[in-house]
Amino acid sequence: MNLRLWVLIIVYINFYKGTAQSILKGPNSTFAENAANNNLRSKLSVPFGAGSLPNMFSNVSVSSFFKEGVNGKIELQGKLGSRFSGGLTIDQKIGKSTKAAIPLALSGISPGTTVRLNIQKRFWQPSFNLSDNQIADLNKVTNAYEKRKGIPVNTAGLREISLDGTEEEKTLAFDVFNTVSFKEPWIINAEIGFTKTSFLYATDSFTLDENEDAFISPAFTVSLIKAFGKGFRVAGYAALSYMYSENYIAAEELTFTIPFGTSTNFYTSTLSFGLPRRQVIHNVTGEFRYNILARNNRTIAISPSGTFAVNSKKLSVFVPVYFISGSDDKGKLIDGLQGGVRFGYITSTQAGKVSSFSNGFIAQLIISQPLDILSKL
Amino acid sequence: MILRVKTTAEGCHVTVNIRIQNQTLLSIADNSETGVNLFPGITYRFEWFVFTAREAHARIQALMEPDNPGFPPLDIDKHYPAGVQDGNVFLFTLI
Repeated sequence: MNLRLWVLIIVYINFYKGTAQSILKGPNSTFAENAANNNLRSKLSVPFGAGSLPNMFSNVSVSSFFKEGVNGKIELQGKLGSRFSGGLTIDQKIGKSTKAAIPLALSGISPGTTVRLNIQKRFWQPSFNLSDNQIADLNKVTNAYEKRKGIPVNTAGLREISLDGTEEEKTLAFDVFNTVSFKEPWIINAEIGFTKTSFLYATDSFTLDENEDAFISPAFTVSLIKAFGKGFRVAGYAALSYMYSENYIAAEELTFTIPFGTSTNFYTSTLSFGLPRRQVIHNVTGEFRYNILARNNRTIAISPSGTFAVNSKKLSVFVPVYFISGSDDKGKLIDGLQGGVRFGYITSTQAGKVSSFSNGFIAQLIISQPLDILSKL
Repeated sequence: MILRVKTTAEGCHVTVNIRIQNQTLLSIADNSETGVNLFPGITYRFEWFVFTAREAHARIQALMEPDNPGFPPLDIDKHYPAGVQDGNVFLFTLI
């Protein structure tokens, strides 16, 4: 090979390397924007809304989950004290052909695995606002109900009287329970998690040697939640959350067409060119969950949420509507499945960059099967 | 005389208050066991509340040491569906 040809090859390689890197770093690249959108989608496009309060109701949350090609999840929740509870969640992304989740390996957590720890503190001090005379009158009614039903004295709850009493007893039970102050709790939920992600990439456009690196990225979420009720029903909750997280994004994949040895044949190789990028996310989320219809053991629940991504100045709004078949007397779901539909819209809040409705709109169907493993803990 | 109170909460939250009108003498939450010193001739309130997150079992046990006819042993033992609240209040006077 003569000198002139060598110079041409080196010029070509440098030109190509510069072009490839300018694609990755160029100011007009939508790569970072897509990553921000994907992050919002992945946080909110789950069957359980923004998830400010895990396991608030067994019929709209899940305890463990495994699906080939999607993910596997193990969640353990327990009480840590009289007003504290907490839990551990391990979530692993699963390949399309994988038949089992292996979240832990001898070297630690496996790539694609997220480990989260959460702790909840509950503030709840309910009390009846009644005079002694009013309580004495209530006790006469309650004791008469207990005698008629053969229930030990002072053990009947107002809820069962409201379900099974005479019309006067039902009215009294509702009126008395409505005097309770601080009836529904405030809850602070804090969660810290770590995700291990593995990347294959090349940084040398001449040799195209592949490098493999694993990164551990932290995430922290704190939520303030207020439950609210109607009569004897817990109707839903409102929540405000702040999330800090870091993650790494693979560089855009490039396809190279390479000569096969000294033959006239070529083969293609696709790999990420450039180091993975670190992304820091600050999200603020407001969520509202409400059972809008609960009749004859059938429930429709809505769970609208809005998230503002501070760094990317993006706003997302999601409105999931759940059609829950309801539960029997023991709280078991009637048909074991729940479904719904979720509408979402993601847009930039920066002037001139607001997404059109058709570009930002998302609609998804939800079908999931809740498990009640944790109810046995 | 001591009123002993024990609460058991599985899948729910339980609170028991012992009060004199607007003053709370004792407030205990889930899965706790404690006692409070009470006196004869005074009328107290026994308040209890249950808040369920899923299918739940709540139990509230209370007794006087020594036994007192003003407060016979109490055992409230109930199962609940998910997403409900319950409670009640009664007066008692030790003899």
